[in-house]
Amino acid sequence: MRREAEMERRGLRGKLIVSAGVIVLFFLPVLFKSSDYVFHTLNMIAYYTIAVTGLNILLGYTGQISIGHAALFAIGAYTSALLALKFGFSAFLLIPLSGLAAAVVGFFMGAACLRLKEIYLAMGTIGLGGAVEGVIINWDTLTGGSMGLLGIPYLRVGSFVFNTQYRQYFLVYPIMIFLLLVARGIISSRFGRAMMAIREDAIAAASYGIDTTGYKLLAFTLSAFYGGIAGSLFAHSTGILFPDHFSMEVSILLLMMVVIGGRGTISGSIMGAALMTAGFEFLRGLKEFQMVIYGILLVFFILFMPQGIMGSLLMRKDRILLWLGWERK
Amino acid sequence: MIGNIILSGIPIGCIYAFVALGFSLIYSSVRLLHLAQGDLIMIGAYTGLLITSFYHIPTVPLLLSALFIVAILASLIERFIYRPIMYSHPSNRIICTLAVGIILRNIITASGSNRPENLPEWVLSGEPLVLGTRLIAPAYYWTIVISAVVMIFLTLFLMRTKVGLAIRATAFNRRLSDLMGINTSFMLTFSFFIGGALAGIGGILAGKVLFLNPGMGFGIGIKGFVGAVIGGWGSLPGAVLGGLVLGLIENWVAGFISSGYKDAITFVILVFFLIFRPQGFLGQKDEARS
Repeated sequence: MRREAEMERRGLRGKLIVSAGVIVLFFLPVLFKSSDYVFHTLNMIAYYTIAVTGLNILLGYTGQISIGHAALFAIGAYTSALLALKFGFSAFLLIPLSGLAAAVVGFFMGAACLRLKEIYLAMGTIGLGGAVEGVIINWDTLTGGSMGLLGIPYLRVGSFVFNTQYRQYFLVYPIMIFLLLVARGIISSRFGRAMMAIREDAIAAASYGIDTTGYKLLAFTLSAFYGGIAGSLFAHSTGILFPDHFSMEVSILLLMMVVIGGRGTISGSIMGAALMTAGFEFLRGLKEFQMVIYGILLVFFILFMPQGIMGSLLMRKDRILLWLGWERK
Repeated sequence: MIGNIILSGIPIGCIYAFVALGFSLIYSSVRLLHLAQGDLIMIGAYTGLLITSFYHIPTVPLLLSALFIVAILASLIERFIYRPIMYSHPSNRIICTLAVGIILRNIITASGSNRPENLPEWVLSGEPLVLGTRLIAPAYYWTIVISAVVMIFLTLFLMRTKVGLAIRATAFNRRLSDLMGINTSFMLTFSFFIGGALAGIGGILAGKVLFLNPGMGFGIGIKGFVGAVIGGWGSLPGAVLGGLVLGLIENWVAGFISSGYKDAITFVILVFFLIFRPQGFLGQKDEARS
């Protein structure tokens, strides 16, 4: 009894420390009156975190690889931008609608790729991602083609306009934290357990009565929804959209964030998005060698942390807690 | 019109076929989706540019030196980057090939050559060939000739020599080949050596037929990859056929519909084949894709 109470107390303490840490981290840039550039980078981290969390549900938890996720990011972004341009909807409507639009496309992407596995799935998603990019480039009466879609209005709620990076920070981060909590809720529910069962062994999962087809489609749809919301926030932050924003390089970047951060951990999505976005900015000083060093670091991470950063840390969780003095022997 | 499409489609198709062959060869022996294959082509082209900017050498030694340089580079990459993660998660291995692609592309960009360039005129030069009323540029017919020669040599090598047999045995079943006394570890590196050699030659040809820029490998890589899929993933004759067909389709679309749809159509074809004919033209059925 006492031991259980002790455990619970410790668990609560852990949660309190984490929540306090999150709140402090959230207000730190505000307290230090950081520049627009810092807030811009922080917001980029948030967009990527949302999209990467979606991809992580698909790749990390359900075990279905996708190298076409930028397409869903694009669907969200263009839906949101066009609705805002044509109808002037408020943020409350735009963000969920663009998520839904991407979810519908994601559902059909998943349905098209349902029979493909492993590298064939990778190939299929490359194809679908490229096809969506092709549509964006060629349907220029709607999307502006390769000239880009310009003059996208800022998000607004009533008369309040999110017209600076600082203001967007207070919009984007609450949405991100909400979506992360939702993702965690899904993962720890029966849906999440079913997805993980499919990841471990699809045939065994099916023989236990799990509807593998349905859950794969659910994972595709859900991850597309996250991608769409990230795209919507991104579109209104930059104000212009080019097909280049959603090329295969972006799909690759999202995939790398999942793998470097840690497949199958929500914290890994945050870590991957934050580290790779911030790392890219830090390496700017190297000028032309920026991308070379970036690539070399990526290879090193994959060679020495095959589970991703958070995956490797969680594997050594006990030892780290011991070292921090949180856990007695 | 049709004649023009065929005449300009085939040389480009040959270059795609070189990439597709590399993809298929590496996949069937190492089971790796090597997405940096297109960047090896780019390295081949820039090796040619580097050599020709110092020495005025004839075409054959130039091809051979590009072949060996890229082949050795590819073997080193396999040995030191791909080998340690051979049994890692598939997404790790795919990411790793993409990261290698990023490194290769940006090393060339960082070395200061990011404007479009071309190999000098005396590479693959000759009299233009007259075919009825049309003139065929020397680079184009040389590309076709060299591709044919290389593909015949590759087939003979794989089908008629002991090393070729060992590579095919390793691709068929690595553990069994180990038991038969084949040095399969060497064979895996050697298939990358061949993949690199193909990229080296393909690079020189691409440097004549297309423009050189550090980002070229990515696009060529994707096209070659689609060629490998539609020809039949893992089948070498299929890779050649797929590359040629893709080159022709691409030129046809550019000629008859719009050049804007050239890249989009490639991806539509890829998805179409994966869903309706996953084994491609000449491939065999495989559990994971049907």
